[in-house]
Amino acid sequence: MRVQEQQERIGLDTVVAHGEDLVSCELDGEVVLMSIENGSYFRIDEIGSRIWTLLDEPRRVSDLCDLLMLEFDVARGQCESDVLNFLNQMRADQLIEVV
Amino acid sequence: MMIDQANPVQTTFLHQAFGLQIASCLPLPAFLESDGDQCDVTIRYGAAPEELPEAVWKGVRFQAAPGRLLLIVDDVARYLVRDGREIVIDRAPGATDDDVRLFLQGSAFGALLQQRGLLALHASAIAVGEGAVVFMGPSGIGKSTLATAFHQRGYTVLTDDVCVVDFDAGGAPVVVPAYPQLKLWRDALEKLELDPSALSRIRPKLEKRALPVREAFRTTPRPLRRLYMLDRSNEPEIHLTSLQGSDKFLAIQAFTYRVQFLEALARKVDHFRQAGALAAACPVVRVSRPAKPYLLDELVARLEDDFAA
Amino acid sequence: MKRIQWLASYPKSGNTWLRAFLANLLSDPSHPVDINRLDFAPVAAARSLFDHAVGYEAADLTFDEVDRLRPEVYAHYARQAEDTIYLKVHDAYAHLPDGRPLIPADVTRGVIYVIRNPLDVCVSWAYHSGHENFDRAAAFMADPGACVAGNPGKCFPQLRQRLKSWSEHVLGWMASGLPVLGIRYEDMHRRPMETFAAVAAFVGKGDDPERIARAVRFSDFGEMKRQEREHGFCEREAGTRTFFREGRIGGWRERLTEAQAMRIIRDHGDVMRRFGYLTSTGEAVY
Repeated sequence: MRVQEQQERIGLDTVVAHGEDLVSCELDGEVVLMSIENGSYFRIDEIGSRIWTLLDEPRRVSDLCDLLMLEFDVARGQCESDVLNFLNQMRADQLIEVV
Repeated sequence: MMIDQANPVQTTFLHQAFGLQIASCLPLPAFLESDGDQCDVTIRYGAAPEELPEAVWKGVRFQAAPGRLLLIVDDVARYLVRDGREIVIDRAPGATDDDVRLFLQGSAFGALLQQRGLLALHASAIAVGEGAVVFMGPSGIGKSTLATAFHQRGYTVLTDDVCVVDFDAGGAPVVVPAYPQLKLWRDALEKLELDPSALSRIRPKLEKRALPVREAFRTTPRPLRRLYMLDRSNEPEIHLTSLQGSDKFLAIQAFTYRVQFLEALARKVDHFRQAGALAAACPVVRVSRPAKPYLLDELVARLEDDFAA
Repeated sequence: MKRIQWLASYPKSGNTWLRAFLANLLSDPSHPVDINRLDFAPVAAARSLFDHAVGYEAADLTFDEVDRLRPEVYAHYARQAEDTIYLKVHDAYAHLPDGRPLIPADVTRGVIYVIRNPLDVCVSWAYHSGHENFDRAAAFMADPGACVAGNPGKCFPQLRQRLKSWSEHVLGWMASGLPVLGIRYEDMHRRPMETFAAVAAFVGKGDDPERIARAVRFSDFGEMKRQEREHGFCEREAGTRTFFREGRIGGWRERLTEAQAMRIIRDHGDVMRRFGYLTSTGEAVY
């Protein structure tokens, strides 16, 4: 995926939510997204899809990690680092926004 | 047949295909005749521009904007497809009716169906019981060959090449039968043991022939049971694999008929929702067969087992 | 817009190897790039590329009608591209009846042309075609009308491609007037660092010797053969056993009869001499 020049990176205290100009559909637990702006398609794996669904409303990243740790067997440090990587990538692709 | 009052020079032929009533200046013998007085689509001769000034996208031989698509086939015709209701044909001198029909029934109708908000797949389809199964895939993969093999075993062919998928009142996907004709390369005719000389060419200069399959053809839409995505590989066996999740969507997206028209026709968002709904409602099975030999009989048997299950 | 970098060769001359090197060079991965993922450089004659750009299907056109549109198809992709695009090409460098070249100069950034000893090409082409009839392969390589996917009664995944004879293929590309880097398959084996460094420099990525060395290692013949053995290779022709067969230099000596070798040398002697495959006394070098 393309990584763009970006402002500051998303951190644990950042509040994030879905991007606006997107349509999505869920298939067998996987989310497919399309950017209305440029027509690109994105697919997100199962855990990513769960994160996406949780971002139906704006959430603080640390709160998001709390929720994920209830559902998945993962240590906090690993969870936070994976989630931050994922969110920063999603933001580079303009799929999520900082609220 | 009736005489067009507004334009007495042009004779009008009434047809139906893709669930649409069509009044055409050019007889379309592959389509069914129609006697209805309602008309969804008009095809007429007229002047089509060389450029579409409002185009938001230009391919090599098509230009498009929302509601408009200009298709240019050198030495055959220019086709202006408008608002899902009209196709204007500007014939080139020397073009035969068959030349003009081929691209009309292909890309020009593909654009028209998109303009009407319909989901069309690059696929053939057959009736199975009360329902339908669909074979989608790239050109040359054997969609028509497979549909013909099923026809030879008594199945009804619903469409070849362009398959319209609509959604019924309850949101379930249905196949809208197009017209009862298959197009086959000489190579496929040999495999199917059909005599090429008994069939007419689809275009004078091409080794591809039309096989009418009117037996038991009905225009009633049928519930879509299964989508097969045809693929070839260098492995010696046939493999059927159920696709899951986003792979289902991506298969439908990839084999959307004239997917390159969607964006300029401002159809992408709608198409995304339709493809997503279809992927959610219908199993998608990847069918990988050896590139050679084709193993046609075995493939038919495997698919019969699969859709009977 | 000069966007297209052509990866040109007669079939079975090392094009896949070149693409594997470039795939590793361009993405600079930590593990070798999957040989089934060399799609950064699709074949220029892919039917799908044509159909998508044109808006109707090559399958509904005659071969000559298709050829007339092909230069415009490449210009179309060059116009759309934000960066260099790589296209593999086996077509002979040729002009259409109206005088336009099939490969337009104004969209061409450069051509990397891979040449291989025609004696070895003959053996490899026969195996690739699913037979061991080397006379047939040699006749094909001498035929100015030779083409692939040229049966008009069948729809192949690729468009019809005219190859001309092996000699015409080499000379046509080398004298195309386009910026051409000619490399020899034999040098890819014998002097990989030097040869691939020249490739890297040609595509503007010549400034990192370690990266180049890594890409050479990740795309070495043994690695590609290992991947094919473990996972298969999508570009192998059905009905043939392996794509990466021997990749040896001079393997023809154990396969071709003297008469077959003499025939190839007779057909292509001038070009073989020019590119170092024949000594001045007419002996095969490799």
